[in-house]
Amino acid sequence: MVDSDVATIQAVLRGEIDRYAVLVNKYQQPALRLAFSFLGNYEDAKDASQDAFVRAYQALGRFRRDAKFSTWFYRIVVNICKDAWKRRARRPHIVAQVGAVQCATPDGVTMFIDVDDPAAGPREQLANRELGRRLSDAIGLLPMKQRTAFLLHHVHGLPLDEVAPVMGCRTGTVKSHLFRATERLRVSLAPWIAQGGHG
Amino acid sequence: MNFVDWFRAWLLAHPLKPPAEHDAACYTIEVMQRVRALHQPATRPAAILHWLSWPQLSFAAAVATMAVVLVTMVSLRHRTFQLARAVVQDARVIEALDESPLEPSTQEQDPELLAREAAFVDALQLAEVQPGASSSDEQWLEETVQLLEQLDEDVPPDSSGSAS
Repeated sequence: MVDSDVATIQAVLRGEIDRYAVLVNKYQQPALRLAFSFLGNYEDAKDASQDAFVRAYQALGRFRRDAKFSTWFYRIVVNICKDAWKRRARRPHIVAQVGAVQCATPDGVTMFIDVDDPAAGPREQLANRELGRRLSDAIGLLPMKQRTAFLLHHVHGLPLDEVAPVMGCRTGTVKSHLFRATERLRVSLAPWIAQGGHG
Repeated sequence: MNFVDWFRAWLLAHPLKPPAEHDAACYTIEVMQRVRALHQPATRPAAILHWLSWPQLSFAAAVATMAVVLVTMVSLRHRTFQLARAVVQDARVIEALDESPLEPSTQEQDPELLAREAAFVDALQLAEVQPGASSSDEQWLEETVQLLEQLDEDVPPDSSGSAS
């Protein structure tokens, strides 16, 4: 997979511009979800992820062949999202949302974690929806570095050795951020978990 | 089950999905349009012309400003020369006519009036002389009376009518 990315990048650098669409098709979903987890708004996430693709194209000549394109590209996405977050200077209304599309908030924020689980009973769906709401609030209160590490590792499933170059720090530092973020979330969600709401 | 394991299990059971309104094909087209726009040759000449046009405009504006300043300076200097030449000509005309407009003309005054004023001034000077300077008070009084009589004779009858 990495070799195919490198071959595509070499073709683009040779002048075959249209081959860049292969990378856009391949990475647009993770880029959009990653941006959405930071910005909490579909339009902002779309703009940020598209800006990341354009910026990655402009810097494609500086991409090192021994690195993974996904890691290099995710770092661009995260940096653009951080800049957009600072410019906006306000918290997203919802970082994660549980439920169907019809549960979108009146201000147009769409879902982030889609758990429209038909197999679950009404009580379990209600509990999951409540968990999603509490989780959204708790993640939104995390410091930026802890939030970045938590989202990349736990929500988007990146391994630690890939989260570290995306965040531009050591693996041990990522572990520290993850530990602190998990502790904060545990404290925030403890009352709800103690009531057995998590099923 | 600890919190992390439970949370991971929960996320595995509820994987992320993109927003329902996301159109992957449209997304790719929009990105590729922006990428191709970076290579459009029409944009570069326009940008170059834009940057090349401003020095020409500035140069033209500078030339026009210099021309206006030059014409203004030449016209002012020409008017100054004309004014100086006119002053010199007027001075020569005045010199030729032997006129001195700054000195008052004494020839136009009446000679009789000037004589009367001189006599009056002499009388005043004589009246202001200290009494001790003459030989005696009587002689001084006689001279004063004579002078006053002489003054009464010099004064025309129209002006002395009100006094008598």
